Amino acid sequence: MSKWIPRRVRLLTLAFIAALLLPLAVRSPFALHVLVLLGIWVVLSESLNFVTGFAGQLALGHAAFVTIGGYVGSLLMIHRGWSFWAAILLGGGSAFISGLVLGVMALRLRGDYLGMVTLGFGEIIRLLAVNLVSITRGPMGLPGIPRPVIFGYKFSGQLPYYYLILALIALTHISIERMLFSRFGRACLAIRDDEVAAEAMGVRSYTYKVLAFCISSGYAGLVGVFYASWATLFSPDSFKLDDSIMMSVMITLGGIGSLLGPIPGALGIGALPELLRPFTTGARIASLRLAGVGLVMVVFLILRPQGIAGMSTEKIYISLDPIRKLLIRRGDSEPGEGSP
Amino acid sequence: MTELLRTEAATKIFGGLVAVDSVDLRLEEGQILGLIGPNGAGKTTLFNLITGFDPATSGEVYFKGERITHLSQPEIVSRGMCRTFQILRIFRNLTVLDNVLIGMHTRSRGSVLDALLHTPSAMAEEKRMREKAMHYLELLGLAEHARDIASSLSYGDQRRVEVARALAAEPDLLLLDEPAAGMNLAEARSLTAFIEWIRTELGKTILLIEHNMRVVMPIADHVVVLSQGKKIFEGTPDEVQGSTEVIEAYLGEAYIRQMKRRAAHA
Amino acid sequence: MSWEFILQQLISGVAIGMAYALIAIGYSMVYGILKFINFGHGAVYMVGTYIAYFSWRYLMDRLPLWPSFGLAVLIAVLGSAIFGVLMERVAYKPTRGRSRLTTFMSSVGVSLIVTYGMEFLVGPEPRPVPALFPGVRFEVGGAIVTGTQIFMFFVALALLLLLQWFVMRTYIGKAIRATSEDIGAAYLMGINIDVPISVTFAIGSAMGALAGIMIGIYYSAVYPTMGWIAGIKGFIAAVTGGIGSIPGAMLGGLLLGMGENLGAGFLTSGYRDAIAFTVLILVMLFRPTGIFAREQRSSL
Repeated sequence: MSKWIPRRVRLLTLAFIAALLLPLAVRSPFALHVLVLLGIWVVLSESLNFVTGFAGQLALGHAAFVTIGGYVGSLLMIHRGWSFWAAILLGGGSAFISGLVLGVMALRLRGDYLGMVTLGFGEIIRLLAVNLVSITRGPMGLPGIPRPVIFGYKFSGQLPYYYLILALIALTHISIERMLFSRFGRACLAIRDDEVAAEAMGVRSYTYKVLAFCISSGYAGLVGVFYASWATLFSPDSFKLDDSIMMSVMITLGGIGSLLGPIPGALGIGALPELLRPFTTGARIASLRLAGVGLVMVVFLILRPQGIAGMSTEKIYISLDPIRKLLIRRGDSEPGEGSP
Repeated sequence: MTELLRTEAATKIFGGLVAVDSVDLRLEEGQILGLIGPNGAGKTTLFNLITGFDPATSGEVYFKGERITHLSQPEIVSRGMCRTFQILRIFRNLTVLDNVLIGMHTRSRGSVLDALLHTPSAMAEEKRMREKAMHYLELLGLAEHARDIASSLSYGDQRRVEVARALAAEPDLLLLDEPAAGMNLAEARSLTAFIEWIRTELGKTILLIEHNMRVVMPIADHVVVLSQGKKIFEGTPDEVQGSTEVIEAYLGEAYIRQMKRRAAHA
Repeated sequence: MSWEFILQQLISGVAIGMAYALIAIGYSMVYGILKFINFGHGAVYMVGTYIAYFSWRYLMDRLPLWPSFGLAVLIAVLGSAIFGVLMERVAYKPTRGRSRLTTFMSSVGVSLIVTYGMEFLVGPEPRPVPALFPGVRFEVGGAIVTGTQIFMFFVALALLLLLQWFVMRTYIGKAIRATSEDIGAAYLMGINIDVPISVTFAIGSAMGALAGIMIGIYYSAVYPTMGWIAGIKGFIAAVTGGIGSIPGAMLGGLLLGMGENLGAGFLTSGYRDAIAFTVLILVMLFRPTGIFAREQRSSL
């Protein structure tokens, strides 16, 4: 019996296999370094897209959860000698709980207000990281974060990190898809579409919004620990407000609420510094990149709010068409009950 | 017959405006109650009070004997009450099937963990839900549109999606807010039969707001008339049609006086 | 912990609070009329300040202190007003029909473009600002009040009063209030809504520039990212006082300024900004419509 596989899944599987094989063609450590960084952006964009695109809640403090996870994981590894794998779980967990705390407080607010509050939260976390010097060593950061060890093999060079981030990307994407195509995901989409109507149909929107928020924060926490181990240094500057906004631009570019969108969005914006290099010296490149990112955001919001992977629609939040299009084929039946 | 719904002195005040003024309502199981009155009489606001959309300023609402006055919408829905909206509020960007599946939210289980792990019980539940949802779509003649995005349907079909969605919540009490709005004669007739069918075949109790008397009068057991927030009359459809207060409320005192003067001169 | 210390903090707080109030005006008025949070306001504040800075630097050698300053301020006010109007036309007007969120995100983009574009052009290093009242200081109850602080307070107060008069008594002010009340109705009444909207942006931007000039002089520095944090604080002030309300902006600004200074005085100064954000979260939790709430809404 042939099981129909949606086009989206075929596309992703091919891309994933290509990514697995990429290091055969790309050898330079610098290039791999950039790829790992892009991978980090992909995971962050996917997780942000879950709460913003699918549940409809604007979160501008996403970097804070990366920071929280990163610090918790680093401290556990440095001071308690925990293994990377245990630390990453706890880093994710602590970010999840932080998301719960913030979510419970903030998720009764409407869109732009929620954005500002999450932004404020992000800044509070950064300031705590800078000022609680006894714990975090302040702006100097935590150095000497150990590298992961798996079955006796200790990570060295970029390659193992590359495969680890690929694994993380796969984990993130698959889990998000599964959650989306479920009763939980439907409820989130309904909330995004018309929160009041969703409530009128029995969906406790607050509960679901908080849950979506926690989950997306949890992913960010995982990234934090990964990054800490990869960079072997973690400081308040590792992930800041700029990065939170960067992620928002990435999902805007990709198409908020589209399933595949975060990937081209993250890759496009993440690669921007490299693309800008011919135009300016290293010193000012950071400024130009951020200005460029802003420009991309505005242009896309005005001209193509559905982003790269979205379909033609009017408002920024009507980007569920890609889900439909990639799910449904004329004449074919829907892919299995449950798993695509 | 057992009482299903009761409001006692239900009142809603917006700033200076008394939208609903101390309304007593009583609905028995298996009844169809028609709620009529001129525009702005407070009918939809009363619906909102009953369903938890808007909290009552004062007064009480009882459903199945339980006091539900300040409960939230989800809490009330899970107790067996569901509504449609006067201005269509379906999930425009979801598929028709998904719309109905959301309606089934309170009648289904499935946590995030189940979704992530694809447990056999979760998968079976999902299957059951989809089959049930399709069943409701077939009831409303929408089965062929299951996979279409809701906003792509005609207005009339969209209204039917809303009804299917409300039915999927398996409510004991269904509140319909002007379901016949915008319908022509044939459609209204078919709707009337359908509402009656919901009562007899599905065993539901119905509270119905309608302007179209051709829909309300044939099927309603009992009619309540609101005007400017107050209940001005209630009775059987025949009694309502004969009542001068009701006619006055709809047509206005001045008009009645004018009619009487003309009749006197004739 | 002494009374003089607390008094000192309060006095500084009042001065800076009035500047926050001026920034808050920009958010308040724009929110009132277009119902979205203009994240780009901070950037305009910065641009206006830089215009003043460069103008003043240029004129300083050619004119005496006060005329050069006055002229620089004038140029900045005009420049920032024009900039604000342009910003609205280019980045916000196209998104007018769409959700608030779209426009808000657009404003975030604008903020990035302007802030980092400026940083690209002039470099990230802070530039020193000459003092306006060197050495002028008074003693009040054991605390010191500088000339700059007095200047800030009275100028800001005058501006706020002027604005209140403008909004209440002039025709355009009425048009702005009408459009803020109900944009659809205003349009149907024949008001060309672009005009009140542009005027709102012009006023808000000019106020922001003036606030930036004051703050630049107060801290003796201008730098491209000064708009970020000042903007957010202005927003917090606006929300605390009640968004859409001019007296609210002033109250919010004062509360924020004083609260910040007191808090930073007792904790480490590193937490200064954190206080502002904590205020934001507290306000959002307990009284999201602000102190002078114009509209009571159950869900903000």
